[in-house]
Amino acid sequence: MNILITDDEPLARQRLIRLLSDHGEYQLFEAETGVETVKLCNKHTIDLVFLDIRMPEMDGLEAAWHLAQMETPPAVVFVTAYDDYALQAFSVNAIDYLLKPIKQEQLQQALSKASRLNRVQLNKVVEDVPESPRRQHISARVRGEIQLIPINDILFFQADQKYVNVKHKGGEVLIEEPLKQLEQELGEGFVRIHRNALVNKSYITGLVKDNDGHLLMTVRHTEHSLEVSRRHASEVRKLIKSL
Amino acid sequence: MSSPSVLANGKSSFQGIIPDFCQLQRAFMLVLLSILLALLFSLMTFQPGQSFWFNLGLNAIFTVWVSLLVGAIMCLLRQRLNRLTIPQVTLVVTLMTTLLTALSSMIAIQLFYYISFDTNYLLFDWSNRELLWIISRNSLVAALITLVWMRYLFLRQQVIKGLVAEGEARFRSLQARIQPHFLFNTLNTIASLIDINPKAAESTLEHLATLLRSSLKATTDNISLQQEIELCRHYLAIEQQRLGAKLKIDWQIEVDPAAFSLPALTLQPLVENAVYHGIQRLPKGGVVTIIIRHLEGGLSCQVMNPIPKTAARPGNQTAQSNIQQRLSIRYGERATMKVQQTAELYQVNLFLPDEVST
Repeated sequence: MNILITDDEPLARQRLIRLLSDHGEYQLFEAETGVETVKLCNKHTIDLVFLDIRMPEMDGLEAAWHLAQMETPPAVVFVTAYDDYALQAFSVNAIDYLLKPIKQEQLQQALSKASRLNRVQLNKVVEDVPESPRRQHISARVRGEIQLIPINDILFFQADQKYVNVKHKGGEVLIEEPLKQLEQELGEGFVRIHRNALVNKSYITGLVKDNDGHLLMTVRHTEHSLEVSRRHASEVRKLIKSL
Repeated sequence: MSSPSVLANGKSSFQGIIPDFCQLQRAFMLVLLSILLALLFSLMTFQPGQSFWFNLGLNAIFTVWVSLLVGAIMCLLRQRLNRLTIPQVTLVVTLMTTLLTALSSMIAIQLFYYISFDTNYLLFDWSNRELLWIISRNSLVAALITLVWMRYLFLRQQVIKGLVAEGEARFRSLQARIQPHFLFNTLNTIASLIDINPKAAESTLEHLATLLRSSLKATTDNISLQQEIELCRHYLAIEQQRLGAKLKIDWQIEVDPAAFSLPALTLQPLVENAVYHGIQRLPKGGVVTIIIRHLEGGLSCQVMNPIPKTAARPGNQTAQSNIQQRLSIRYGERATMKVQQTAELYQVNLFLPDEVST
């Protein structure tokens, strides 16, 4: 069995490794961050992940969300020293978790019955946990490899039939999430300017009119300008004035 | 973080400087003080040939009458008065007392003459200089006494506030020490270390014990800067084990820490915030810089830490506001705490005036 241990604290990883080595022969992997976890799971066949909840940049909940998008996601057991709300949400949604310092018997149980998570479960947890941070990354597959793009680096989303094109500082990728869902999830930082386009407010530079009288939005870091539909024009103008 | 109800209740009762005059005990004290005032007044104005006891009786009836009237109005208006600022309350109460005294003086004079002399005096004679003098004297005395009294009420409230803040600080620090996350993380660190490095496990346990003990200790006095720095070091030693190379500390102490003193738990909560909101949330960690030096007129403490770019939530700042409150009670406006924040750096500047140094 391949097991991945994710924790930003080296001592916490070491203890779990020691406890697992008392149990049997496992192929063990280690990760320090949520991003690393998602990448490792996409590269190797991982059967089980012990996932710390509180980590910098990408926390355990977000990492689990990205893992749940995989075709064959690993089983996940959350690990935490203390997270009142998250633990309640886990109990309600039948998600496995362990409390630090981890006890042998409970580890034994977790190993034998750890189950895969699905997105429905995780979305419920996010709903149940007050102040749970929003997703900070968009994940996309590029030639079999997973890419995690920080949402702060994304310039805009543009829908194109089945896919959504994500233009970010370092290039562009295609994802399959519907624009409407992205708009709801990302909230304040982004603005809908057209049926097919969602733009990051912090990269907007201005508005211009082309020769045919269409209203276009210019965006930093890209030559590409985006059409503003009539329906959204007045709202967008108001926003630009307030920026 | 929820404070226990005891503290919450305590808070509501010390808001505003006007105490509750509806209490029987307070009304009694008011009567007692009024009689003392009448005694003072009678002694000051006593001239041979007059009846001292008669004058005292009249004066006492007057002062008790005015003070109970003021007390009754304060009892009714207390909540409204306490919503005003200190200068506003002082003005309103002083004006009110002065007016009441003037009015009561008029009535008293009318009654006095009506009973003792002549019904012709029933209508007040504005041209009578002596009567005017009595009324203005009484009003002025009432105004002055009220001002002194308001000052007393203000100081009384400051003392109560100070006691509550001290209690809160201790409670908060205890809560932070036994904050489940810190405690369980530390226990987990110790559990990990027992197998790999028993010595380190032992010392981490000792640091934890020292921190818990200092939080439990009831000290309202200043402690030496040295002791406060030691407290920070115990805390940092624990976090160092947990965070490893991510946490770096840069102490720049340019004073002799044994020569200065400060309220306990002034610096340590700031260092804790720097780790909790800064270093711990950065994937690569960073340096907490603590600079302590003597500037003109006082001691300057700076705590700096890098913060993550996505640090949208600033925390609830309970530690900071508590430190600020305690400093302002102890040093007034001469002690300052300023926060500077850029996209990547968070800095708290603390300044404690020199009288605190021993």
